[in-house]
Amino acid sequence: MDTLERIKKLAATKLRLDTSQFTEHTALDDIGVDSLGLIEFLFVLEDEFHVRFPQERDALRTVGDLVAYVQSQQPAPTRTP
Amino acid sequence: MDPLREIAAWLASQPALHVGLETQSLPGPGFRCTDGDYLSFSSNNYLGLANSPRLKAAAHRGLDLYGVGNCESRLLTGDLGLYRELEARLAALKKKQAAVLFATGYLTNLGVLSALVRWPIMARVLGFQASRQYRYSFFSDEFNHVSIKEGIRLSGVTAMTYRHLDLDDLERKLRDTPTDIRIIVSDGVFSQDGDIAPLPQLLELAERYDAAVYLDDAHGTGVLGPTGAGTSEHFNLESPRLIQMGTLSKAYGAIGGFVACDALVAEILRLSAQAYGFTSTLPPDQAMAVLEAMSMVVDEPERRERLWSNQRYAVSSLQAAGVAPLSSNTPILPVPVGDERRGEAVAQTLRQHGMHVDLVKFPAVGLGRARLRVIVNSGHTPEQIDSLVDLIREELAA
Repeated sequence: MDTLERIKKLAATKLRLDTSQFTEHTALDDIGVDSLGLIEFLFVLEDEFHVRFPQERDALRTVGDLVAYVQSQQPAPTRTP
Repeated sequence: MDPLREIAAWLASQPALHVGLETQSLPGPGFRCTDGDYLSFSSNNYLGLANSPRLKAAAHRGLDLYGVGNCESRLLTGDLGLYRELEARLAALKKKQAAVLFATGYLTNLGVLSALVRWPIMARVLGFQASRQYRYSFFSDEFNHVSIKEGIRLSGVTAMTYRHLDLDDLERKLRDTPTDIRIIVSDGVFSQDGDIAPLPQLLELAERYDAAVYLDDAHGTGVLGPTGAGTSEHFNLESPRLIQMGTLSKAYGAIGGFVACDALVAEILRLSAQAYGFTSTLPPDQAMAVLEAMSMVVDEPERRERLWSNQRYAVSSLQAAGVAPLSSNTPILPVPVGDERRGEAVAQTLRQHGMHVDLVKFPAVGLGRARLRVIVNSGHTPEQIDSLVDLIREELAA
């Protein structure tokens, strides 16, 4: 499952959101949670993907921003000989 | 809102489902309705404090000193010293370091059970970094009060329900649930069944599985134990694993709820339990009344002596009449009637004779498990108990 699908699944199970219309362009302000709910969701993603989001979150405006940040923090795949 | 209109239309054709009895006075234990005077055998006013002159005088003093309501949150300017005084008394009663007041018992369970496991999230928002992640799980008796069930649901963590008083089932679930923090949750006295939680065994299991025990002692506080301190005093038990919850609206005759626990837990709850910080607490006159009620439980011991004398008399009278209550260790003596319609008929006959006994039925208990929830209190006389038992015997034999 790719990162976007994993995030959608977590949003559906942890926030009980209908994520069927989520795309990478969906604004975080529009997903249907309040500010505390969004912070809680970021904690869920931090724990799931073993990343830490920056305190300054201006760059995180869309679901796609979350996907990109998570992927940027993942270790590069090791090359098999 | 078509679904609501549909249900409302159906409800209109189901008069037996309508609840609520409009009264003109409150049970002391006698009370007045629009259609006549009744004697209540279902009041939580166990010691008759709610309508006693001494308690009313205390509430009046509170009104004179502080006014009618507390319009502020305790996290803002509503933290009267009076509340701290009451919390200290409640903590001492439950042999804990601290206590936290809530506006009602229901709010206490909603607020505390959710905050106990959600506080790391709140702390993390403020910059706290936990040394590790913990998984929390609740283990809850199936007959626990609905406010416990709602509080656990609000917490969002794993919730395992064990069969009523079934320690083997509880142990299986404690053993088989992968988790880090286990919290066993139980009523002290079960409100619809009248039985007492096996606290010694619950604490043994808590020791074995490194769990905490959250005890809702709404019906035990002021009633059980040599001094009325509740279920833990009944068993002569204290444990650092025990978190004690209680209400102020039953034996103490007022309104409010509290949790008694370690001081550090209390402070975390004040900051993280939204049912504490985002609502007004009980009015000051009620706090004054509860302080007085706690004194009355101790220095008017005759009230508790009468309560328990009546309890013993009611149990022996029911048994002599061939009526077996579901339990017989507390003032709550539920008489099973099974079928809801039959129960309605029996309750109606009792009312025709001036006796009010709540018929407890679905959804408070399972379908087909209706019961007359007989509750004796300190204000009943042996003659009144005789009359009730005679009527119940005749009706159940019919």
